[in-house]
Amino acid sequence: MTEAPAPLSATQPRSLMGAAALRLLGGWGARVGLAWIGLLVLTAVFAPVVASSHPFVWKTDGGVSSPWLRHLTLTDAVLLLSFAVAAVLLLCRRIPLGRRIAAWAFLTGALTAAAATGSAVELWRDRATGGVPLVFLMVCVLLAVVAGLMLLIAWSSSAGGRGKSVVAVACVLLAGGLLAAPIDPPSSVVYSTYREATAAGEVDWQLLAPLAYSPGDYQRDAMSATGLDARLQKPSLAHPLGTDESGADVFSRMIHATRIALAIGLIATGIAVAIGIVVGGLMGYFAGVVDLLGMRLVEVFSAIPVIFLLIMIVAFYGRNLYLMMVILGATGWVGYATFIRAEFLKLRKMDYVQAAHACGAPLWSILFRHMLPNGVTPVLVLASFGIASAILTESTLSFLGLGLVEEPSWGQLLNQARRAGGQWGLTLFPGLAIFLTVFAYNLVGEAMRDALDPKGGA
Amino acid sequence: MLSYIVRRLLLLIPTLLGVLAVVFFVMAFSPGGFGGTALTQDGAQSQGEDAKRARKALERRYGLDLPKVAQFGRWINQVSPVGFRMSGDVSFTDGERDAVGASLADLPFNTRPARLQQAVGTAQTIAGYAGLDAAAAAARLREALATPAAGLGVLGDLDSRLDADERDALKAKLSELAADPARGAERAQYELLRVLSFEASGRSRIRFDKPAFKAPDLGQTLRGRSVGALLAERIPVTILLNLLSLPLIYAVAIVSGTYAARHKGGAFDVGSGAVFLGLWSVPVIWAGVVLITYFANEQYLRWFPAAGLHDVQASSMAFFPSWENDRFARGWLLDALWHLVLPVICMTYGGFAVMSKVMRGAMLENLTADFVRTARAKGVSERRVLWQHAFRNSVLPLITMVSSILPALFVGAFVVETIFSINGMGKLGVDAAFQKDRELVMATTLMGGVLGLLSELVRDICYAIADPRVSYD
Repeated sequence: MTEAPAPLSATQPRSLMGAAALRLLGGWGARVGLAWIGLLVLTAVFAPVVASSHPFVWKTDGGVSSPWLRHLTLTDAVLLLSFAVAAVLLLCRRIPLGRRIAAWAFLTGALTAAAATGSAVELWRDRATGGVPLVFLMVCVLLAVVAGLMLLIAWSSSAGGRGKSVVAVACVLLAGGLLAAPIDPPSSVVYSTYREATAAGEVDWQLLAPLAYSPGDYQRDAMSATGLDARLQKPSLAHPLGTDESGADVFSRMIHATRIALAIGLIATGIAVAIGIVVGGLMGYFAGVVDLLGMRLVEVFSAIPVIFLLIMIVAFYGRNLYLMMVILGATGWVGYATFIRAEFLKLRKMDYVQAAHACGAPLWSILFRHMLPNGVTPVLVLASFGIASAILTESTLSFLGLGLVEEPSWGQLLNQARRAGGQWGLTLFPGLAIFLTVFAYNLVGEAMRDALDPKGGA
Repeated sequence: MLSYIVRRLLLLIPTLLGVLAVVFFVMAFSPGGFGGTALTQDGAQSQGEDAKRARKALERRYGLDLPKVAQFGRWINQVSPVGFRMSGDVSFTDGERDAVGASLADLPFNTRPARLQQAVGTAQTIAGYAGLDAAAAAARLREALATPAAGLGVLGDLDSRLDADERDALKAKLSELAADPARGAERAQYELLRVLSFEASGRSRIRFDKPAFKAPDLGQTLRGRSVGALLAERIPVTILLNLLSLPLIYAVAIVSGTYAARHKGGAFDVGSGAVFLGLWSVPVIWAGVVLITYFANEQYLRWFPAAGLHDVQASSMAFFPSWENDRFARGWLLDALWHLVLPVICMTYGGFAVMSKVMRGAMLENLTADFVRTARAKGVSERRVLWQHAFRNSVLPLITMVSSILPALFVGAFVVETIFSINGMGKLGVDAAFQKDRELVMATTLMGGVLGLLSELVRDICYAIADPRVSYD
C-alpha cells in the first residue's frame, strides 16, 4: 500500500462519522438525552456509595472497621473498577480516542470475565445444595460471549505491540486482583444492627452514606424504636421520596434500580442487534431462497406480541432477569434484520463487494468487514429506540408483578403506587424516572436520525 | 387484486403456524410443564384416587401423554376447521340423545335424573369413540352396568393403555361394592359410571379416518370452561376499546398534524412537536397510575370511576340519559362512556403523538412538492390544495402505521385493562399465562397473531386503494 491513499481512506469515513457526531452533539435534544443517560450511568456505578445502610467506616468497641466494604458485592466491585479504569484512560489524552475506548472495553471485559468465572465456580461448587443449572449455564454463556468480544477487540485493534502488552498486564492485574480479593458479602443482612448500635451508644464515630438506607433495608426496627410505621411514609428529610409498602426507602430503591434499567436496555438490544445483523446480513447478501425463508422467520417473530411472550415465559419458567434479556433480544431482532437486509441488498451489487468477492475474501470478511460498516448506521438509530422500548417492557413486566422480587426496579415501585394511598413520592417519581429515561433514549435516537440523514445535513 | 388477497391469505397460514409453534413449544418444554399445578390450585380434593383420575382425565383432555410434537399436531387438528375427529368430539342430535336416554331409562339406578344424564353422556362418548350408533352404545353401557366388575371391557375400549394393576384394583373395588348388601349393586354401578365419565372426558385420541369439515374447537380451560365462549365474552370489550381509540388517534393526528404543517414554525407547530415528543415517551403504566390516583380517587378528584366498564347498577339503568324524580340519571350509555374516559386516554395519547408527527412530516413534504405549487399556480383554492392534493398524498404513511398501531393497541390494551380492571382480551391472556392455562394461552396467541397479520394485509389493500400507482398484480 502506498502512502498517499492510506490517509484518505482512513480519514474519509472518520470525517463523515465525525461530522455526524458533531451534528448530533450540536442539537439540544441529544445533549439533554445524553446528559440524563450519563447521570444514570454514574448513578448505577455509584449506587452503593450514594445509598447504603452500611457505614463506610465506623469505630465500635471492636475497633475501626468498614461494614460497607464487607458488604460490597462482586457487581459493585466490577462497576467501580471499570469506572476507575475509564477515569484513568480519560486522563491519557495522548492516546487516540478509539484506542482508549478499545482498551477500556477490553479491561471491562476482563473484569466481567473474572467476575463471571468467580460466580461460575461458586455455582458449580453449590450445585449439590440446589445450585440452579439454568443460571450456571447462562453464566457460562456470558463468559463465552465476553471472551469472544475480548478476542474481537484484540484482533481488530490497531494498537501497537507495546500498547497491547500494557493493556494485557493491566488486564491480568485487575482480573487477578478481583478474583483474589476477599469479596464475600454475607447472604443475610440485618440492617437494624447499625441503628441499634448507634442508639445504644456503642458507636464512637461513623461515616454514613449520603442516603443512609439500602434498597433492601425494610426498617423492621422502626416500629419498635420510634413507634412509627415505616411503611408508605410520605416524603420527608430522612426519606426524600418517602418509603414503599414494605418500609424501604423509595429514593434508595430508585437509585439502585438504574442498574437493572440500564443493563436490560443495553444487553437486550445488544443481543437483538447481533442476531439482526447476522440474519439480515445473510438474507441481504444471499437473497433468493435464503431471503424468502428469512422473511418468513421475520414475519413469524414480528407477529408474536413480545410482551405477551415474555409474560408467558416468566409464568412458565420463573423470574430471571437474564432470561428476560435473552427473550427481549431473541424476539426484538426483526427490525434490525429488515434494515440490514435492505442495505445489504443494495450493497451486494456494489463494485467493492464484488471486488472483495473476486479476491476470494472469506464470507465473514465480506459481510462484516466490508459491507457492515457501510450499512450499519440506520441500525444505530433503531438501537436507540430499541433500548427505550426494552426499558419500557421491563418496567411493564415489573409493574404487572412479573419482575424480580427482591431486586428494586422502577416498574415494581410504580406497581406499589396503585395501593400507595397518599404517598405521592411513589406515584410520581418512579414513573418520572422511566419517562425521562425512555425520553432520553428517544431524543438521542431522533437526533441521531437527523444527524445521519444526508438530506438533513448542513 | 383478488388473487393477491387470496395469495396473501394462504401465505398467512405458515406464518401463523410458526407463531403458534413458538408459543406452544415454549410452554411444552417449560420445567414443571403445563397444568402441573392446576389440580392443587383448584383446591378440590387433591389426594387419593379421585385426584389421580381427575389428573388423568386432564392429561387425556390435553393429550399430555403424547410426545410434544404430537401434542402440537393434536392442538392444530382440534382448532382447524378441516381435520380428523377426536374421541369425545362427537356430538349427537337430540333424537339420538333421546334414544340413548330411553334405552337406559329402565335401569334400576336410573331413578335420579342426574345419574341418567351422566349415563347418557358416557354412552354417547363411548358411541362416538367406538363408532357405534346410539342404540349400540346404550346396549354396551347397560351390559357393563349389569355386572360392573365384568364391564371393565368398555374401559379398555376407551383407554388401551389403562394399567393392568389399575384395572385389577378397580375390578376388586367394584366386586367388593357389588357384594355389599345395602344397595351395593347400585353403588358399584355408580362407581363404574364415574370412572367411565372420567375416562371418557378425555379427547386424547385422534381417529385417523377421513378428514372432515368440523367446527373449530379452541378446547377447554383448565377449569373446564369452553375457551371459545370465554373469548366471545371478552373480545367485544377489547374491540370496543380499540374502536373508540383508533378513530380518536386518527382524528387528533390528522387535525394537529395538518395544522402544524400548514403553519410550520409557528407556536402551535413548535409547542405540539415538543409535547408530542414527550407524550410519546410517557409509559402507559405511569399515565394509568397517575390518572387513577388523581382523577379517580376520593382523596383528590373523584371525577371518574376507578375500575370496570359499567356501574354495579348499570343493568337496571335506562339506555339514554334522562330526568328521573327531578334527578339526572345518566343511563347505561353515558355510564359506559364515563367509565371509558380514562382507559381510552391511556390507549390513545401515545398513538396520536406518533401519528401527528408522521402526518406533519408527510404533509410538509407534499406541501413543498411541485404538484402543489402547480395547483396553487393555476389558482386552485387553498382548501382544495390542502385537502385534495396534499392530504390525499399524505395518507400513505398513516396507512403504514395502521399495521403497527393495531397490534400495539391490542397489546397495549392489556396494560390498560389490568390497571383499570376491565375484563377484556388482554387481561384474559395475562391471566391465562399466570394460570399456565395452555388452551387459553394458545387461543389468545391465535387471536393476536391473526389480528397482527390481518392488519398487515389490510394495510397493503388500503395502499392500493389510496394510491392508484400501487398494484399487486
